[in-house]
Amino acid sequence: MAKRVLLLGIFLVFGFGAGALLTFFLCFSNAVIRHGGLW
Amino acid sequence: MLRRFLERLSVIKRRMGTAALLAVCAAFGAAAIPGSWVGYKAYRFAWTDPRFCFFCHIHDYAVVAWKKSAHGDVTTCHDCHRISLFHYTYIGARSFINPPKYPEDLENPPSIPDDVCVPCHVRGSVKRENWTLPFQYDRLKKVPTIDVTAGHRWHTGSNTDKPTPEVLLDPSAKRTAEGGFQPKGVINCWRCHGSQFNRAHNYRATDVNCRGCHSESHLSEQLRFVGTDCLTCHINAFVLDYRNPAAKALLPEQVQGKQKGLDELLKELKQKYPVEEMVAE
Repeated sequence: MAKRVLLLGIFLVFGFGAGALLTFFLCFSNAVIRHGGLW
Repeated sequence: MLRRFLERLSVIKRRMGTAALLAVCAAFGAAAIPGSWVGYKAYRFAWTDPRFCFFCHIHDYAVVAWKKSAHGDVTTCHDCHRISLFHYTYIGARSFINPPKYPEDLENPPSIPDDVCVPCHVRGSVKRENWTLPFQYDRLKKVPTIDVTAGHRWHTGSNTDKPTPEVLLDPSAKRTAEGGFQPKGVINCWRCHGSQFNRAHNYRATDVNCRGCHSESHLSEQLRFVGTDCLTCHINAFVLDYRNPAAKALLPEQVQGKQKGLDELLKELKQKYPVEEMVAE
């Protein structure tokens, strides 16, 4: 049981981090690309 | 690849049970929603708050000047200092390892592309879908445009061999055989609204900018003693529509008919930034 709760906690943290990073990266790169500067 | 993934998934399913696996996936998805909100807030901070740039660029004076200027709060750092994703990742990583402490530590001075002023200050040059500024696209009509003012039309369409203020102050600058200075070229925005005399976001054209080319013009030197500057008398030419007689009144007679320079520039810009409809006057 404790193992499952731990796993659930890890997935919660990973999900939060993945959502935050992905959204930040997508929004930021979208704005930069709209300015015309990829490289 | 997919087969191996499915096999692994079935092993996990067997070990954990379907219900537990679903719970874990649901937890991942549920946590991603508040995570996205945090990510969006971080993006808003990075894009609109100058403090984001402070991680690598030490220049609080520039931010103070920007906030006080006409561009304060209606633009962001990124709107004018257009840099690539490569810069953010590469320079960002380098600054993280070796953070700068003083403005002089800046390895890459801020660069402003020549056409950065155009989208807002030349009518019909920007599309709604490319709009990233904090203020609304519909308010663009209220922004002063240079393509309809006599002074801007004349200057942007001219070539000059007069020195920029930087060249004037540079003792190593050499005169060309014709007596002019290098660089010789088109008068672009920064020749009047930039230079070391109005750096750090003071966009007003100063007397020094005017005198770079107009040092021998009428009373400019004498007028300095009575506390007036070039724009006190010539401001109309730069803010009023060129068809307004008041705008022409303070320009030399020979200047009034020469407005083709910006028309050619506009033609090029329309090819570069094709738009279906021009912003109404």
